[in-house]
This record gives sequence, structure tokens and C-alpha cells, in this order.
Amino acid sequence: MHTRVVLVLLSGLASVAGDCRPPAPGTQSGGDAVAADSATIPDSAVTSYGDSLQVVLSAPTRVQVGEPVRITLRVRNVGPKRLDLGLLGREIAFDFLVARKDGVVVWRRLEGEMIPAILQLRTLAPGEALELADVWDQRTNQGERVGPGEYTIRGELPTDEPEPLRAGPVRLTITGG
Amino acid sequence: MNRVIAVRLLVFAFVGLLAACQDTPEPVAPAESPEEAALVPGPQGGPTDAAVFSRLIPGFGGYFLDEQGRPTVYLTDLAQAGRAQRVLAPAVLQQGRGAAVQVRQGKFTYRQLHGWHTRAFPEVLSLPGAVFTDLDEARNRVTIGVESRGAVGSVEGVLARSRIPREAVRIEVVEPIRLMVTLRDKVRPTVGGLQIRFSQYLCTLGFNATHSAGNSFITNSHCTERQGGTEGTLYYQPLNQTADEFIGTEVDDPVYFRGGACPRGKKCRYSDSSRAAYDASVSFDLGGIAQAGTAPNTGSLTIDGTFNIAAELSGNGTVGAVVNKVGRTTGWTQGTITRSCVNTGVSGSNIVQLCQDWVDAGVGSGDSGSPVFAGTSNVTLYGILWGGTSSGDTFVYSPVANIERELGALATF
Repeated sequence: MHTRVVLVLLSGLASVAGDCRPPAPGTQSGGDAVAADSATIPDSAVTSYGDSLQVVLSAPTRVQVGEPVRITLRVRNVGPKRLDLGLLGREIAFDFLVARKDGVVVWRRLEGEMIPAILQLRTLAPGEALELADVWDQRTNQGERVGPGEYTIRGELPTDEPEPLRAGPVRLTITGG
Repeated sequence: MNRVIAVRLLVFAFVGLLAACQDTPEPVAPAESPEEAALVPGPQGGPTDAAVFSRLIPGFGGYFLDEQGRPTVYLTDLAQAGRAQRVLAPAVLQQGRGAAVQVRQGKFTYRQLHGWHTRAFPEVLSLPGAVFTDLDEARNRVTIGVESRGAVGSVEGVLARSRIPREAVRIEVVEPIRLMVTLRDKVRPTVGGLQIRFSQYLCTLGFNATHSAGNSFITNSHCTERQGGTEGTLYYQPLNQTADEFIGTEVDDPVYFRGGACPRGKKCRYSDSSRAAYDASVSFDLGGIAQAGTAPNTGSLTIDGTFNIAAELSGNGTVGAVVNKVGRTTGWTQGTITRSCVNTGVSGSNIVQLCQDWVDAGVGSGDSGSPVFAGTSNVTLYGILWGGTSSGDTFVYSPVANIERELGALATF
């Protein structure tokens, strides 16, 4: 069982020349506050900035304690033209942040990482998607296991703009074994 | 409502004034040539008032405010001074000036100048070194700006072929008008801090150098086709992989080593640096680093000057020292060194960069290769940036001493 949060994100993309640049952002739903009250977090949230790009954050809504949590960030060109993206790293850098109900981030994928600051130009054809995924082992950045409870997950995709593309949060419930 | 009425009254008053002027039984000067008769808003944009004045004031040669802000008119026929005062009065009052208009003896009518300007400007502006053309109301001439005296002869050639009196034209040597140039534009001679491209990646040119093997620039090892090992990566500045933006070829990127100081299971170097040989056709500024903006940490990418390398740091930076970097993404950022000589693991790889320095300052994707330096005029080169945290508030650089240890001696200024 998965919750899928679809965000149409059009801000913060590379400012390099290309066939098609996403338009300026419009409305946004969902939210990017790590400390969001879980009662306000929808099971699915769609944010529309336009009709060119979707960033989809996928994660299970419920897992057993200790069970690996696969998290996926999918970037798709849903517009009719080629779309140029500017992304960080030769291996594309992307971040997931897992926070407790009180907002405290317990795990951040890129915590303490020193990432080569190279800009990768990627062009997505209409309908083409880029998928970025990792597995969270339910341990904090300090290596301690987290306990059962409510968590939120957020995704970030750095570009060459000051703010990364953000997706989420989605809700994750860890149940006792 | 009252405002509408007031505006209508003003319009009626102005039309009335014009009508009164036209009622005066003075002849309107005939056009001196067919093109003068076709006096329409021209390339300068909006000489509508001047066109009206030309019709109403015989011998009208231009209207302007002098250095003291006094309304002034050129007339070829000074006997038209009274008429000029009457016709110009509404415009003068509208500008909040006193009604009195100074009259100067003009040599040419506005219509003549307009005709000559219209005839000359397309060919003149196509000449190398031409900067501007102007129907110069304040001088009763056509003024042409050129970059150097060398361009004067060609301008005079155009004037002669167009049968424009030489005395009607002033030719001035002026500074060329430059567009705002950013770190992401094509810049020659090249300097540190500019955007460079290889394959589908963008990085930043670190610094220029002369090496025993030739003229070079330094950027990151990871800004080559393969990090470690020399593959002849082709570089372009700023973006298009075309012949006119080609600047050089990777010629030295030492391989990463294992063992020794390198932790088990890792491969290491002391710098994330590579050397590219400049193409012979490319001019470069040895010691030059682009100054983006007029102050650090503003986010500006506009080039407002040049930092000049005057020294190189001989080792690692000192914790607490203030340093700068200039990169194509976040421009000129400044902060303090927080860690010195740190063995730093590279995210997503088994690479360790030995003895690097960390700085609390802004960084973004594309800043790889940015020159790092201290000072804000004649600067001391510290090294080149290669990475940063995902939050973009800490960067890491390879000290120039480590770079020369691996690439050989470099003259950087």
C-alpha cells in the first residue's frame, strides 16, 4: 500500500539555455514544512505549478518496525515539449528527509555529505521520466533504530537555483513488531 | 469627474494655442528636399514635437534645455524668434520652466538634420567601431560616436557617398556601450569564475596558468569526462559545443591512488584538479578572476570588474580566515574557513580528497572549479572549489599547493 503525492513543480530549475524552460510557479499545495501536523497531511497531494513537470514522491504509508522503507522521487515531463533540467552532481544528488511527528528530522539522506558541485544538464522528452530511489533502514543519522509512530517524508532535488525542487510530505506509519 | 473635465480643458487649450499660431499669416517653411517633407518619427524615437515645431517655426533647428535647464532653441533665421517663443510656450510651461526661451543661431534646420541622419545612420552603424548616431538637438548637428579615431575615416566615407555636408556632422570618440555581461556569457579574454561546459555538464573555470607545457586553465578533475585519468575532454565557454565557443582540451588529470595515506577501500588524491590546454585562438587573462557584483553574497552573476591574483597561498588556509569564491551558479560568495586540511569523502563515491579546506559560504550546482581566494582587489589564490553540502552553505576546496603538487608548477599571475 503506497501513498503517492504528485507535485507539479516548475520552480527552481536550471537557468541554462534549452528548448523549453518551465514557466514560473503557480499554486502549490502539500507544503514543505517538516514539522507539519500529520492530521493535515493528505494521503495524496497534487501541486500544480503548470503542466510541464511532475515530481512524484512515493513511499509506503505503513511498514513494520525495522522493515526497509523504499522511497522514490520521480521527475516526469508531462508537457508537449522537451524540458531541460539542471541537476546537481554526476550521480544526481537527491535528498530525503524523514521527520518525527514533532518535526524533528531523524534521517536525512545527504546528511554530512560533501557533494561535487557539478551541474548536469538533462533533457526530458515529452512523457519521459527520471526516477531516483533509495531505501531507509529506519535508522537515524546517528545509527540508532527509530521506534513505532507517525513520521513524514519529504523529497528534495537540488538544481542550480537557490531552492531545490521539493515534494511531499507524505505520511509514514511505523507499527510495532 | 473633475479630473476628466480638467484634462479636456487642457487639451482644448493646447489645440487652441496651436490654432492661434497657425492663424498667424506666416508661411510654413517649405521642405528643402523630398525626404525633409516626409518628416515622421524616426529611429531616435518620437521627434513628434520637433516635427510640429518644424512645421510651425521656419528655420527651427532644435529645442533642448541647456546646462542650466533653460529652454533653448536653434533658429537658422533669428527673425523667427518671436514666433518661436509663442509656439514653444506651451511646451516650456508644461516642463515647469519660465516662459522665456533662449535663441541660438543655428546653421541647419531640424528637417535637414533629420534627413541626413535618416540617410546616414544605417550604413554608419554597420561600420566596425561605430557606437551611436544622434540627431543632436543640443548642438544643431548630427553626432556620430565611434570607438576610436581609426573609425573616423570610414564614417567620413559614408558621409561623402551620401552627400551629407561634413560640417553638419560631429564625430566623437566615445567609450563603447557594453551590454551587461554575466558569468554565464561568452567572455574573452577568459578569466576565472566563468561558466564552462563539457559534454552535458557545466562547471566553472578556476584560474588561468602558464605551465611548462603551455597556456592552460585549471578546473576540477570531476569536471572531465572521467574523474582521474586524461581523456582529452573538450571544453566550451560558456555553453554551446560549437567551434566559436571551444576554448581548450584536458591534458592532465592524474589518476587516483590507493594505499599509502589513502584509507583502505578508497582511492585518493590531494586535489580535485585537472589542467586543460588553451586552444591557440583563445585569449585569456592570466591572473584575472571575474568579479560578480559589487559585493559578496548578493547572488549577482553580473561581471562588475576583475580580481587580480597577486600571490598564492603556500599551504592550507587558516581556520577563521575570510575567503571568497566566484562561481557560475552562486556568483561571488564569502565566508570563513571552518576546517583546515580535512580528509574529505566524496558523496556517492569511494574517493577521498586528502587535506582539503572547508568554508562556510554559499555554493551551488555548477560552482565546481570556482577559484577560491582572499582579498578583494589584488588577491591571494587559495585553490579551487569542488563540492559542498546539499544545503549550499558550506563548500570545500583543494588548496593551490596541493594542485601544484599533482599538476606541476603553475604560474598563475
